[in-house]
Amino acid sequence: MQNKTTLSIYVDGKKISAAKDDNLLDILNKNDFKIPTLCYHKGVPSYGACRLCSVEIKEKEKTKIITSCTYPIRTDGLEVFTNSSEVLEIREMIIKLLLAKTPSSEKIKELAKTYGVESEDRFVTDEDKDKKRNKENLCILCGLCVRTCNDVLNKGAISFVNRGIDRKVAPPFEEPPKECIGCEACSVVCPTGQAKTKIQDSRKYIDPWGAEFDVIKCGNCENLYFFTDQTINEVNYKTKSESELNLGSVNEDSEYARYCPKCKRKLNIKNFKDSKTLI
Amino acid sequence: MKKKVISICCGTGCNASGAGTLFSNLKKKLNNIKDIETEITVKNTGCHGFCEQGPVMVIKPDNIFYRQVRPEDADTIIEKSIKRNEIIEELLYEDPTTGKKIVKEEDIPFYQSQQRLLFGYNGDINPRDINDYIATGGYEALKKVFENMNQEDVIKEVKDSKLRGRGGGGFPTGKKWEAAFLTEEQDKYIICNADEGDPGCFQDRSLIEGNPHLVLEGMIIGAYAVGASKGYIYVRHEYPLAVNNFSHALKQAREYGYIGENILGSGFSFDVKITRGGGAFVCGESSALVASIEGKLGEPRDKYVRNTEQGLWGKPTVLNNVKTWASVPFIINQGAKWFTNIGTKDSTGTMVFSLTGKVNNTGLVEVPMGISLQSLVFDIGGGIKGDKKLKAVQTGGPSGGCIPENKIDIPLDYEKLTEIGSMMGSGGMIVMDESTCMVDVSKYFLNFTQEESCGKCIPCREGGRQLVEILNKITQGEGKEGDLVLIKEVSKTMQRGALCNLGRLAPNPVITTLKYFKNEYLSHIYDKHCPAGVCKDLISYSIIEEECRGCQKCIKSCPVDAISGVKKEPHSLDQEKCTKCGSCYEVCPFDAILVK
Ligand SMILES: Cc1cc2nc3c(=O)[nH]c(=O)nc-3n(C[C@H](O)[C@H](O)[C@H](O)COP(=O)(O)O)c2cc1C
Ligand code: SF4
Ligand code: SF4
Ligand code: SF4
Ligand code: SF4
Ligand code: FES
Ligand code: FES
Repeated sequence: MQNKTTLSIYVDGKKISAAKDDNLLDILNKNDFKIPTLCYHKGVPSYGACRLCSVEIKEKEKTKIITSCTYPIRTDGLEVFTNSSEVLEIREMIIKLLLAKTPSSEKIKELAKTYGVESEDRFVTDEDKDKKRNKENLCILCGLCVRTCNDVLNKGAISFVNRGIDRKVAPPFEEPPKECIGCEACSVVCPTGQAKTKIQDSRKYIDPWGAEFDVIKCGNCENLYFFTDQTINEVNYKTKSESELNLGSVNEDSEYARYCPKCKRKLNIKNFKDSKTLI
Repeated sequence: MKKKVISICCGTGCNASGAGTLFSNLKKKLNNIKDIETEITVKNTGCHGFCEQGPVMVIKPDNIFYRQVRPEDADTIIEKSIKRNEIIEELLYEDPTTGKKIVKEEDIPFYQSQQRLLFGYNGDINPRDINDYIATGGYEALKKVFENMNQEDVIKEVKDSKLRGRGGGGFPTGKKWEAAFLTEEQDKYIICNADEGDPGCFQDRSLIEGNPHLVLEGMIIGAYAVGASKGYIYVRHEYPLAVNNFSHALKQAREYGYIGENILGSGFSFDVKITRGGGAFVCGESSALVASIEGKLGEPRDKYVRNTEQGLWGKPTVLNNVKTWASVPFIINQGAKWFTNIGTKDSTGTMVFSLTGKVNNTGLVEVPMGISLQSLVFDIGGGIKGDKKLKAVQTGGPSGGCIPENKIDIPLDYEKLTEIGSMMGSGGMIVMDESTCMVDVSKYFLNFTQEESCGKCIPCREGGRQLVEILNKITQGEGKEGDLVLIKEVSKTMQRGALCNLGRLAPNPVITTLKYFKNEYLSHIYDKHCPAGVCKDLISYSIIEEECRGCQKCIKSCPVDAISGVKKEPHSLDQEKCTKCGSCYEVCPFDAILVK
């Protein structure tokens, strides 16, 4: 295999090495440069929606603003500025716009505090416009939930609908999505808490999309546990071939998958001990 | 035997006003007469550009130009103009400035200063007949390429011609082709962008409808140059005639061996598919268009890796505008040198504008690059409608800029337009007179871009929205100190931070009007006054007692009964009831209604 070319880049004057086509944001993070992000997650394809990770680069004597999360490093000697006045201006304005979009979001308030940004009184907020609809709406349309569900899990239970300020995340026909398996991955990646999951009386609610599930009982101790049947099936399907663990007496994947974490651990320890005696 | 051709425009505009029936009436009539010495052909052609006067027709070889021809005029035309060579006065075009009737197409001021290259044959050929195109020298460029030129030669010729993309950005076409040519990938694609979403623009539509083979020939040559075996044409979904004519052209070109396997025995194979646009303005943006062809959501992505490297399905892709492709056969036939002689040093060739707004002649106008805006508006456009004064011209569509009247002598080329804050864009041009409020105008354009924003990125979606809100407030008399600074700050974040050019260019109208018409903004904000008398919340209607003769016209016109009074005595107007519709102002014969 061919080795990737190594390039040198200069970030705020500091020389750093990177491989060709490395993601600029990853390299900045690795080298402890603090870049704010909202729509980026290392395990999910980059999207470039929030523009918070914008930095300034210099190319052929011309500077320009790019988003580091979608930028592949390709030029040796590339100069990057993470705190130039342009970058700070853009960052500040984006945060102001977000404060107006979701004034109730703790995440955004915290971001504003970190970067010393005050809200802009003259901006209209969603809450001024439509109190009922928007008080609880914390969504900043970063699309992490959509990409996780579609690109990572291949489920396609949710997507963006509508254009412009009417854009939102929704399941097909805005009905409880049949494709949803109740895995909660969307709520795990959601930066604002808009995509949340609730468990109540052995039911699981993937709230914003209206999906509901029974949660299953542990296959061993019979305690209630947070997985759904659909999720287990998905896991089993994706790991079908051979279990990574030698499960000894319990050699059915589905059985193992149905154990709660406590029982899984117990079983693993037992298996480990058993296998030791074998060696 | 003498020959006569009646060319009837059956473009979308003229068709809407009855050209289709006129065409069949003429055909029927002609079939029934046998007693003349002349061979007569009736031809339905594409748009002649002067759609405002439609349906239009030209009788050749004398080039007699008739406009606003009705289907029932068919009889008279045959009896008089065909049989007896007489001119029908009522059907002639009358110059609105001199009041003189004009007989020949080329003597009409609208056509006089134009240089119709891409549109040169629109009036001569039937778009559904490949032989018509071939008769104008069509497909000669393709033959020349296969006989004498390798891929590098073609790219060099296009580079030397300095042709720049006509879709808005003005990127050098040859350079784009070269980038795709130089990649090591085997599979490559070319795409023709016919999404044309700018309001009021229909150049691309008219070209595909009227001369589809010209666009196709350009595409085949381009595909050969970069080494692409497949091409797409992405046509806006509201353009059924364009789709029809182009698919018909594809069929005929396939029969004639101009597309398909082993074209003209050259060993090169290429075919084209038609894709219908998704209907959103943003789908015309290159990355959104590519996503849309791939069947994904038509939304832009960052283009730090260009399409020429990784475009459609990850393969090198050359995307060009309809007019860009259509320029190629001319360059190949007549040479790069010839092409660079048209236009200016860095903006070569011709540009097609959609001239609209408050000018006497509206329509499609093709001129050499570098012609002055003055000449376009006054010579070709015939000046401002009514006896009003010119105020500004918006070029470049909804994300272009407003050029003030005192900069009217600016030459229309890429650099000059960008320099003063506007752009070439896709050739939209809206002329505005003194009755236009520039704050209202920028609000209108921002509203458009805001509504068309895909909503993906924050600067455009949220920034655009706040700009519209601020402008709304200013026009409603709720503007505040500091609004203009805030507008500039938000605009700057959009211009530098938005993902695609929709958001990046959207602030142009507000930025340019702020630059050239700042006083109007200040009047709205500080004096709560709209100098043009447009913004409803800032104006009031009243009756000037001394002028009012008590004719009662206004009373009848007012939809909300806000005016009262007895005959022959000055009337009075109730401000509380008045909804500021302006009807009374329009009807008053004595200028007794005051707008303030
Ligand atoms: C919002 C938006 C809409 C666009 N619409 C069109 C269009 O309708 N037709 C077009 O040719 N280019 C359009 N463009 C420009 C294209 O992205 C692209 O630059 C162009 O098609 C390239 O062709 P050219 O080099 O021949 O100009 C649009 C760009 C943006 C940002
Ligand atoms: S919980 Fe449902 S919507 Fe959320 S990521 Fe999993 S499958 Fe998709
Ligand atoms: S719900 Fe959360 S993850 Fe999904 S788009 Fe909104 S903020 Fe982002
Ligand atoms: S700039 Fe506007 S249209 Fe372009 S990606 Fe962002 S939101 Fe969409
Ligand atoms: S502006 Fe309209 S509503 Fe007002 S008085 Fe005149 S006609 Fe009536
Ligand atoms: S983190 Fe890069 S654009 Fe959102
Ligand atoms: S459609 Fe007839 S002149 Fe344009």
